Amino acid sequence: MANAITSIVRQPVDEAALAKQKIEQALVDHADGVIDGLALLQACEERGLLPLLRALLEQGDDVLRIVLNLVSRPEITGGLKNGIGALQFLGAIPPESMSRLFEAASTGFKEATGVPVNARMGVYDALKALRDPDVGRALAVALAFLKGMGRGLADSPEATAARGEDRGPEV
Amino acid sequence: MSTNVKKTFVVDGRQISASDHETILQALLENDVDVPHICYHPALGPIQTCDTCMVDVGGNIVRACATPVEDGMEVRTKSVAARFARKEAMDRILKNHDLYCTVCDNNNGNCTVHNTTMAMDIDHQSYPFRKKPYEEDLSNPFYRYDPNQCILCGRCVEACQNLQVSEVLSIAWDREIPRVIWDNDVPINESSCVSCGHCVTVCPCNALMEKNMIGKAGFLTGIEPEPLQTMIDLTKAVEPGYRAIFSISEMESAMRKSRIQRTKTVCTYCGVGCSFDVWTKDREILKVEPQMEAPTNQISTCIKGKFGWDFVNSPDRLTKPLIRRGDAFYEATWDEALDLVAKRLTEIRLKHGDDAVAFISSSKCTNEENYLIQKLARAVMHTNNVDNCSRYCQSPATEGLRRTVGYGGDTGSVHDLAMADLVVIIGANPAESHPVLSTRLRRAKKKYGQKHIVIDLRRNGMAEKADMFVRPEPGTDLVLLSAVTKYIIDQGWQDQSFIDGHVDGYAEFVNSLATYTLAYAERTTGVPQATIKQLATMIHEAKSVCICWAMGVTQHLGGSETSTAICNLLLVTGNMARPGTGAYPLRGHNNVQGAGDMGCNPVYLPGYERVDDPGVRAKYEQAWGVELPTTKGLDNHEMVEAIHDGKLRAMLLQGEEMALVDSNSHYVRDAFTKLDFFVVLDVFFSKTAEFADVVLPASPSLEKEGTFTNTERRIQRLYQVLEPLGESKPDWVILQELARRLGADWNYQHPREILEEMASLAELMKGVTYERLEGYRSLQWPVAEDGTDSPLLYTDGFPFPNGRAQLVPAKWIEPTEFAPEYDLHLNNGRMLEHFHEGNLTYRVAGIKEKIPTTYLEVSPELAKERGIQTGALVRLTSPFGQLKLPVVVTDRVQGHQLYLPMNTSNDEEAINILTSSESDVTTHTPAYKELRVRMEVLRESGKSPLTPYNYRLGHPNPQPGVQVEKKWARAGYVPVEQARHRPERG
Repeated sequence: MANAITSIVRQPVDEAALAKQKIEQALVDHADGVIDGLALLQACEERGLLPLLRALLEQGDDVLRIVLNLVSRPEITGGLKNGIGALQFLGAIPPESMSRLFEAASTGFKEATGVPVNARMGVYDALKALRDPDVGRALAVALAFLKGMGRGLADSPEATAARGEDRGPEV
Repeated sequence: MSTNVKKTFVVDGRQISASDHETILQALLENDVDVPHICYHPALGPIQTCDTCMVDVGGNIVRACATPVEDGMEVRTKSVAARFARKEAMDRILKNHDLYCTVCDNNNGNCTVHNTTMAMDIDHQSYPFRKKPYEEDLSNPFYRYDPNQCILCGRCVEACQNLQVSEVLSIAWDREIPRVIWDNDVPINESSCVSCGHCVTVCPCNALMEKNMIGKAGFLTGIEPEPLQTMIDLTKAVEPGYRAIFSISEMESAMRKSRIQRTKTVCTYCGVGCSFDVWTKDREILKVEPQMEAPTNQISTCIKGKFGWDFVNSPDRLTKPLIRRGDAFYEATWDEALDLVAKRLTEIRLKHGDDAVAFISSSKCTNEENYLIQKLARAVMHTNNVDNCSRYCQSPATEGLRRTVGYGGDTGSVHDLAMADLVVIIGANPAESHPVLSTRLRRAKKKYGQKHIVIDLRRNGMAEKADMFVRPEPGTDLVLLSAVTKYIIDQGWQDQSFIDGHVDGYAEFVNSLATYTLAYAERTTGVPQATIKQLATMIHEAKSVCICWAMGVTQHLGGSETSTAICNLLLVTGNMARPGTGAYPLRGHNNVQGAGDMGCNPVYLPGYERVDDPGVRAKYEQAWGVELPTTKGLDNHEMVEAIHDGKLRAMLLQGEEMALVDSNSHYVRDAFTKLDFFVVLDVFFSKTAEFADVVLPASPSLEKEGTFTNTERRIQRLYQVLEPLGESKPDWVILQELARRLGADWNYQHPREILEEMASLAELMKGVTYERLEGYRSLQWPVAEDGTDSPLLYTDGFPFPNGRAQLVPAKWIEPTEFAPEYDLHLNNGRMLEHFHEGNLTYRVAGIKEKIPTTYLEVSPELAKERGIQTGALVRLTSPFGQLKLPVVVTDRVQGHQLYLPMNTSNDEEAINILTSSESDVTTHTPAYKELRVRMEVLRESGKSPLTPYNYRLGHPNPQPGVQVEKKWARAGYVPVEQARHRPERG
């Protein structure tokens, strides 16, 4: 005969023993890693890295907020953006033409340093110089550069959008 | 269908062939040509809202998703105009969607917007992101809608309107800034949303997302909202273009894979057999993600499958064996508990004989566990006393099918139901009990004009929109069906060539129908003769007919007879063995079919091979190396009787809440108190466990491997999602450890070995192997040795010696009589949100919030007669017990008929306190549906038992779909392909 009963007597759970058992098992399974890891931890402790990391993690949300506040200031975001922009600019230049231009420029510098500091040039000297094929080449490159830059400055959809002018259809 | 007609066309210079009716996008995707697309989803078809799939066809820019392939067509995906149009489309999307992928919980490699933006190599957007003037809706307990992230693609609307067909979501195109709305724009939780999760599953971004994901999926997403927003703004401010940002978010997404596991499982909440991936982080369930490759459900789920799994981490879970000592249970070690079980079972067996011990299995357990428990009973304990809980629901349907067509299973697949001309649903409520299956019917009706006839007492979810809804008197279905069959034959509408070619017993059957005249049927069923004729006419006129039935048919004295009558009707009209036809008893639990298939039945070994067949016994005796019992065993019903008679002394029950779900609970519980020894395996401390001597903690489906067999006879594998909680163990492990203590030499290392042992023995399952069930693959039995399975049965004849089906005259058994004082009929069934007695689903917080309790449905007429309103409290009394129930007045029920959802474990409200021990005469399935009560008013009105978050109180907003035409008609709308010609766009 067994009537319905609902009371359950639980065995006290020895959390400490369970945790100890788990840790011991982990030590057995990963002995080499644990030993290496401990050495690493010791090194971090000796260099003062551990207390620093701990403080940073413990105060994570506050630190994040402070860092974000700092970083979101316009001068910083501007700086970041310019930095990234500069990097992208460098990346955008085709390396072959870059090296040609650099070599050309260095020849130019060499030539330029040969010119006496107080050298003067009249209008006719300038016109004469234009007939020089070397000067003509350099000017052609400079004019082409100006033309490209001008086109780049023209109104792009992105630029329009950045100013918030063309908002596009609602859907 | 002319799917074989091939068309050839050229894409970017490459020849591609496509089937008839295919669109350009479908053909391209099939041929692995990569074209962007966001709103198109293979389960939903073209929606045409996103415009990211624009291609160039002979100079015209068209949507690839909606343009049918034509022979010789030339398609250019890379033309300047096409690319411009796609970029414009993406720009418009990104105006509506803030790209903060690295800190987005949806950045898991499967975000369509992210992937498409990246694939299109978008580096900058032309229109800046702008917020919409709407707040995030967090009201639903399971998912959120963030309008600010919503790209207005309408996938969610299409899924809700035309796949799930709950018709809740729509896009308010008439607003200055459109958004998705629920019903007529109410908070999600107060709408008619059933929380099926379709919308969330198809959302191509994070606008609709599972709440369990929020703040948990990513490494950086758990940061508090304010610093998070600052980070997003900062990233935007310095952003060097999306390419760089995407590389970082891709890295982060890849890292997530190391801590979020995705594991395929099979749902346990009904017999449809949905399969899906479960995402977990440690023991936390982040989301359920159904997959297109899932054979039955594809991307469909219901509230329980999508959101109903939190019970696995309930603090109520049993985690240690319990042993009764005096007036309390004491936690014990597995060794103590199993030793005790083995000792007591052996003692009782020696003292009282083999048949003094019985085993009850569960349709929630795996095939492997069901196979093992019957093997334990037969091979180790030498008794055929083994049964399972399908005895409570589907045995009569199985019987009806076996008699007439041979196999006790659905004759086709969900696919056949979806393609039928006409579906008759009798005594079933699939909208709540088989939700995903019902979506296929609703979709077929809404999109393709499928006809529905619903025969039921109660105006259930499917009845509301049916072409014909018939309400016969309770317990008279057989008369109605027989009259319809007779009328069809009288009109000469029977399929004579099918009958002549494939069916025996026609003449005798026709004679048996003589009494079922229209006049007699009208008198008995209350259904007018004209309606009966119309019903017959609809069946006659339909090219293909399926009949679905469930407990409304089976849980009667004549459950097997009515099931037989259904099969007869289908045979007479030739609606068998053809695509789109057949008999579909809708199995209620995930493994009702499998529990029976595995031989958890007093008369059958696995594969329905009879225990009284000496040849069959010899085969199993040789395989198992034991001598098998020859006497017929007891079924569940007979076991309860045998306990009362003192013949049955000990019982082991796995995963079944018999104290609540067997009929006449008081009688069943009395029996439990008389057992000498009672062992219960369960996940929770159930009502049944209260009577046990030993309770063993089992693991639920998510914590084990195995297979389930759904209502389509489809065997599917489940993989282990989580480790067993505490010291709980999968039932198969428990059974094996017990069997070894009882002297068996079992040494199964994995469920695979169990299933393959079964397959090597059962003729029906010859070709079943775990390899053939890998991942989302499945097999529908019978499975031949070479692995060929049988989605549609009987195309090569019926499994009888002469290959012919058998018409079996069915006899009407009048329903159980009650004394006149019991003046009200009490019907019962399920509600969508809960499963069974609710041991699992009431432990899911969101479900409990929506539906905290069951309630009694009372018709407006009866409410008026008794002077009560919603919120009243009544006492119901039957000859067997009493309940106290809160009332909901609804016209879903009529006259003197009441309805009580069975989903409660509260003894004050549980239906089976009232039901009788009467049962189906053939199979002993309890006649749960034959119940009359009297009602006493305790309180005339009060607080409604329904919360405002019950979908039944909502007001759906049916729409044909997304209605993209309304978008195109908006003032200021410019088609993407024309945007480049706008002056301001240069």
